[in-house]
Amino acid sequence: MAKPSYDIPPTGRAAVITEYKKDLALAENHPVPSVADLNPGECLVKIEYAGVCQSDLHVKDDAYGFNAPLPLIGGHEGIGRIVAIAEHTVGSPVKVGDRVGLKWTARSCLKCENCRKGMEACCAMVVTHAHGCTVNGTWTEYAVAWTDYVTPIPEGLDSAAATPILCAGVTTYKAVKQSNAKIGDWIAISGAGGGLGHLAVQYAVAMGLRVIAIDTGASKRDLCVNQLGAEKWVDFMESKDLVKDVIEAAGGLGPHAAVIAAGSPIPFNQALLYLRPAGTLVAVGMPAGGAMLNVPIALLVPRCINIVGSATGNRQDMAEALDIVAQGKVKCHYEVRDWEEVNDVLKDLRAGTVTGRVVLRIADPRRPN
Amino acid sequence: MSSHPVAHKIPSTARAAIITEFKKPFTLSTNHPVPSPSSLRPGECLVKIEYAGCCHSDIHVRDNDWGGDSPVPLVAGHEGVGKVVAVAQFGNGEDVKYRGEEEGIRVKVGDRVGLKWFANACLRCESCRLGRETNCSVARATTHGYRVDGTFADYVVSWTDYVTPIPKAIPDSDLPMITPMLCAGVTIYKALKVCNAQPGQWVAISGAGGGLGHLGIQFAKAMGFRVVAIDTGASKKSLCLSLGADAWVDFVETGEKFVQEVQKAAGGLGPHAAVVAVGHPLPFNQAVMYLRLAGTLVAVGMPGGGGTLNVPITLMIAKTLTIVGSATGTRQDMAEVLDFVVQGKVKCIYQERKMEEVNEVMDELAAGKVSGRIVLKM
Repeated sequence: MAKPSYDIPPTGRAAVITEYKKDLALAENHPVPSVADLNPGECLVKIEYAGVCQSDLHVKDDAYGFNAPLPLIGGHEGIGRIVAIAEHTVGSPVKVGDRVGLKWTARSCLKCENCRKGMEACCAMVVTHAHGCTVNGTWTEYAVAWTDYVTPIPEGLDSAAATPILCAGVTTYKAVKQSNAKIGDWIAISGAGGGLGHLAVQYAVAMGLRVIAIDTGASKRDLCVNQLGAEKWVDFMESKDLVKDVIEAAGGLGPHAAVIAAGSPIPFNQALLYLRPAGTLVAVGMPAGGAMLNVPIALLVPRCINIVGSATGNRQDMAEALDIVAQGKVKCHYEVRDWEEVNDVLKDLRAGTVTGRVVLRIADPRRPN
Repeated sequence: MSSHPVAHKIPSTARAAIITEFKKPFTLSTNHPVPSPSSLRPGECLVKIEYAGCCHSDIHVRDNDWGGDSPVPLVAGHEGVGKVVAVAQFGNGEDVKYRGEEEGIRVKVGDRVGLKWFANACLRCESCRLGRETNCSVARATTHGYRVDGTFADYVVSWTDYVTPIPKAIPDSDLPMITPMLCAGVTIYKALKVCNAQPGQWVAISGAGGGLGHLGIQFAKAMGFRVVAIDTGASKKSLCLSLGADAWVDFVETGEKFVQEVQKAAGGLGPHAAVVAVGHPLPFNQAVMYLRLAGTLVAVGMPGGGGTLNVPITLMIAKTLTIVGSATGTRQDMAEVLDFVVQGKVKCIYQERKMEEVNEVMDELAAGKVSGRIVLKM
């Protein structure tokens, strides 16, 4: 039986971090690893679409302090086809020709206590194996990934539309899962109009929760309330007392849960004040610059507040997040831009002007497929 | 030609106890072929077994009691401890170095390891991703002494990512003592984890004087439960009480009053949970009767020949009972078991016998004469 086979060019496009805090370099002739270069367990993926995330901004500024050796190809959200699998790869669950997704975690060991307990994002291996942060990422025509960690993409999903699920989707899905909220509960989503937030709203609605969308501006309001099913809206710029407004929006008692997918510490601290007793704050956003959550203990204890840090998700969360999309219950709102615009997209993210997600078309239109 | 290191000279043949025909004693061979290191497929390793535990399930496998039709001839045995003597050239994660790697999790030649019922799991399917390795279809097809060669042998092939690293803190002299942890220990421990009891509550352990049961008493006490030990005979009674059981009920002596006696022993209302580690259907059916309201029955023992649990539905609903099937445990459960051993909270009571006595041992197990566990010194 003929296996699909692909011609792998010697060079291709890659958006590369060459110096922290600077724009990425757009290389047209970045060397592409050959099959022989791949170590057992690795695969080469021809990327069709790659997402751009606020974290990418922080990574390129080295705001998280990983200080990975440069040059490094950026980007950690992508979908493409496997064009090659390393020789001596054992028991690969994927094969050449499969459509797969890449995400923040490029690889976890699957053996340590964290992995055995399903906390794959906490595996020590992930620190040095994160796409676009410590290993080469997805803003490139050919990305190296690991066969036991790439995500098979269900048939019938559009690649561009599914790309943001690989990071924004799984992250918010897992966060809502961890919020302890059950059907009929109120959940506040901060940053509700953004890349993560707009997906969080939909996952929450799909899970039977009543959503209070928190963000700013008419277009985000329209998205959240009229299109995505959020029941209430609070504009944090227009509101004179955000905490009071959110408490009132949730039947006067405050929401049972809050998922904070924002890049500033303020919404995290506000959530502590508007949560209902025994409520859960799920912290998802990663503000840069040493942002702090300051918890008054006299509030924490009597109100029995739960505070949970949530980081992406494991392979099971990923499969579930995609399955919900495949069922038509969550749709990503995105704009496609070209690979060359990556630096402009990062600037727009910094300015906070992006609604939904931006997905970069990676494939070079001049190259035959 | 493979270039990986080999710990010692590996002979071309060695001893093995083999199922050649169901319902017959194992054939003891002294020149069974030993797989060569170069024949190991990616991901596999060769282990020299030092100690092998004997389990009632080995009898069921030998007699094909579960209708599993093992691919005979097959080397029997599924509980073992030994040393890795060779590792396949590929598929063992040899390439990766990273900071913070947990000590000892990357198995290499010379390491002491344990082998258990499940020899491998894929770690990728939904069951594995949900932490339910024992439901993995690869695991179910890769069981030592049942589907692939087992531990009643000097050398056996296993999987580098699935053998259990033995913690450094366990001295070599304790290796025979911990061998039964690899099956009996992890199985009864996992059952107690899923029994829904809280510290201070009553758990009844059926078969309490046996291989699984006597370990169960110790795990249960370490987990803060109060234990009703159920078994029969003076020697098992004294064993169970010496291990910390809070109450003892002899199922033969109590006769028709058995169910009431268990309820009386467990605070008058019956235990909050029952773990049945017996290869006979009766104790399962009795547990449904003596359990406290909202109690949980954890089924661990595997009777041969189609034993059934017959639950009156109105009783199940009126008592709002939970019934759970539990099969061995995962790598995480196994690590936790060995951690309890390192802490000194659980010790296996065992008898050391010679490999050549394996058939006699099976007969003794079948006759219900064995307290604790029998471990063969290989």
